[in-house]
Amino acid sequence: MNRDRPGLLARLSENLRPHEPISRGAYLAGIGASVAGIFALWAVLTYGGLVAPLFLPSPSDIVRAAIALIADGSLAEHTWASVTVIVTGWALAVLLAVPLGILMGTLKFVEALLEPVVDFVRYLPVSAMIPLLILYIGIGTAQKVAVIFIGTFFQLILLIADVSASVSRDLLDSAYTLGARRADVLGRVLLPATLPGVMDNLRITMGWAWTYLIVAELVAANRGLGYMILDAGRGLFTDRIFVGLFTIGLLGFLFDMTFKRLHRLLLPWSPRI
Amino acid sequence: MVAENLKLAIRGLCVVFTRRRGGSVTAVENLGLLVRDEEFVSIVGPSGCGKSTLLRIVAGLIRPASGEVLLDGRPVEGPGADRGMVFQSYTLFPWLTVQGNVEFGLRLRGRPAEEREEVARRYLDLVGLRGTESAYPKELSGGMQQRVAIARALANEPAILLMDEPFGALDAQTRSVMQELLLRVWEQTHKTVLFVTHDIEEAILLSDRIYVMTARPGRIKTEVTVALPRPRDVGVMDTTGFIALRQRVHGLIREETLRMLGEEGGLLERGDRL
Repeated sequence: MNRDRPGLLARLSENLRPHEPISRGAYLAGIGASVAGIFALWAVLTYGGLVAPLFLPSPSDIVRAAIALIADGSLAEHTWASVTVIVTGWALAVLLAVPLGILMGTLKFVEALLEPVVDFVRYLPVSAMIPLLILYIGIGTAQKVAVIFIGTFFQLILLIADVSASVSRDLLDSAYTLGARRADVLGRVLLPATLPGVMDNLRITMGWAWTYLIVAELVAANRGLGYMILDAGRGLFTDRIFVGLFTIGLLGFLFDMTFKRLHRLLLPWSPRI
Repeated sequence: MVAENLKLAIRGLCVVFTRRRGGSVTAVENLGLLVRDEEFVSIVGPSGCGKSTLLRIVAGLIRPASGEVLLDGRPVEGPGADRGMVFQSYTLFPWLTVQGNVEFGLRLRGRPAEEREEVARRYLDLVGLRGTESAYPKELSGGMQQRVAIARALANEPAILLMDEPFGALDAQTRSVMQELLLRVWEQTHKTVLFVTHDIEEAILLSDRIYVMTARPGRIKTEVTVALPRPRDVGVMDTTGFIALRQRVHGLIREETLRMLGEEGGLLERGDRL
């Protein structure tokens, strides 16, 4: 190996030091290799006839199925139905869990009130509650929203409680020594101090909300990406299953990017960005 | 001590912490000290002797089991703007700019914008941070953040400034620069300061008087007057007067540390006995 031009092995080892930053080029090369590798493997398996289309359709099969689903408007309809259910259920959970979580992490008495209930309920599988949900609120959209709500609320409240409990005591104390009263400390110090952590957890629980989609659309659904996937599975339309999966993945990616953007835009002071 | 220029008086102070599993620890026992108006007083002592606890009691953040704390003759009942505090940890509000942080106390009291701006400018000038008004804390170095914290506490014009190892988290070079800055700030404002540190040289450099505390339970072991001339700078640290004081205070704290280690058992053998 000559000195001026390090070999591939040397360059690879250069980029594999624990926790060390690598060049942008090396990072992009990693992304490219990952995506290209998956597509290459996929192409070889499908066009090479190694796997039956029933199990793994080829890229072009999936593009064809996607075009058909886009053309007849059904993909947009399913997507819209799912996004509505998820965003509604998640937003309701956020509206309740963020204030309750902040109080729970701040006031020991509220923690004593909520912790036993939350710790109990968050271990119950959401799917196990479906019979009760049907009994209580029927099989309409409300039931689907409730599934998302239950799936995110009990997790989010604990995450937010943790965020507010970890606000530095000295930060609150310095507000007191500047003349703040208890209400000032809550409103002007504790609340803003939790915002970066709250933003992070909104992003994380939005991801979890999507993972409950199939459970939410299990009962009496006739629209939604979860329903579309279940329905395609019954008819062995594997290509449509993949279209559904890709759509969910893409939406998740877009939601995540939006949250990161919002964090940067709304909280420019945040130490996390 | 002359009574009329007395700023802070602490008498018969006892602090007891209850342990989670029951039982209790006496952190501070029958402690008394006095701080005169416009005096810079430091408290030093072995680690765990309760010096920070003492400062938090003066701030009103902790309630003592017994004893009295009088500021300008009035008992301290809770935290208030008349006792500004600078902490060892970085406590600037990260969502406020430097300006917003320095104005925080004035805003709480509903002062008009022009006054807030004028006061913030004055104190940012004092700590040499003119021009950083619109920066967020995360953009500042540790030393700069502590300077803003000092400006923020002073902007409230407290009767006394409490400082709990404010330079303890800084590197040695920055700490030395900050000590000189604090000397200059004190010479210009003559603010009454109660300063807690474990750095003996820092205490001597800055103070008019030093209280040395005993190991837990914390009491005042002795009082050391620093008669070095003012205005001072770091050059004073090479004088024989400074060195003699340093040796004396060092010896006093060492006695306490050894006593504490001895009580913990086994660590002191034969020749190490006091």
